[in-house]
Amino acid sequence: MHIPDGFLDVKTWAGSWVAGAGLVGVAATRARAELGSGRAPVVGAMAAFVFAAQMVNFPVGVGTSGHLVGAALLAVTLGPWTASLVMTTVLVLQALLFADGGLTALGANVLNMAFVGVFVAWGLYRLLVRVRVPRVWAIAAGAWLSVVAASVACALELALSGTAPLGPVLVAMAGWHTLIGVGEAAITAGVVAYLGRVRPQLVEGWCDR
Amino acid sequence: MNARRVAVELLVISLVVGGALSLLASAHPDGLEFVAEHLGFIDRAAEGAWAAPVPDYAVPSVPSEALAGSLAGILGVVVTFAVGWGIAAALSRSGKTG
Repeated sequence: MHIPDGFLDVKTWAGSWVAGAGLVGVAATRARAELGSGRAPVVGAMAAFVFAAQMVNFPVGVGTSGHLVGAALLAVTLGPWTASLVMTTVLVLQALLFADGGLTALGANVLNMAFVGVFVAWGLYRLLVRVRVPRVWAIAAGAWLSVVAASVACALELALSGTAPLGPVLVAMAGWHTLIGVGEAAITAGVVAYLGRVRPQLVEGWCDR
Repeated sequence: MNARRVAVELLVISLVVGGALSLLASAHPDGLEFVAEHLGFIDRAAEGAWAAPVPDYAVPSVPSEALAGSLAGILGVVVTFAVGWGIAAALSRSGKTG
């Protein structure tokens, strides 16, 4: 759901840039508490993994596709503020190197995927773990809702820009991403379950924070 | 936990995903593009002022489409790994001193 240049009007993309930049500043401060010593290589590797996974579009229904966003995966393995910074890094590099997502729309893409996506995933995951939902289901639910929430944010920005009327764009974006989110949930739960089996220290230690 | 070993393993998996598995990616439009086509605003997509060096995940002037995509994936994995590591290292250093 990377927004290209041209979909957002000036007030929306400029406002998103300001809000996104402010949140990245906050995240840079808060992430320091999450980053243990010697973890920097793993953070880099998680960034690389999310970048790679975002290249692999899977078919959804007829004629459309989705790919892992990775907000939930990053949140539960790295902590939410580090996750936001990592997702922002991925989005910046995608826009600068690969023209995936417009440079004007970068602020909105950062808001949607690096902040709305990450913190919705994190919030639901924490809530469900607290009421004793098994961890892998909590992660799957967080992953699913993160994609739907990010798509709703994207729809609001499109409507605010006058690109599409609010009702139809909201219904269409949330509707399709309800399906795409199932893929997100399955891949995220699978990767976390795999990491938990081969590297239990990685997932357990980092999820509990 | 040996963080370096975990990082190397994740990096190798990422290289396989970005360099090989990505070639199997569905070419269908993603959710946003699909909605944009359906609601009739896909034509608003514009070329930005910035010319990305590797547009659309294909290294330019590589004759084989598969090779161009594979190289783009490997390049992206290496660059995100390095930048992500660099940012995390800088933040954890500044966290200790300040």
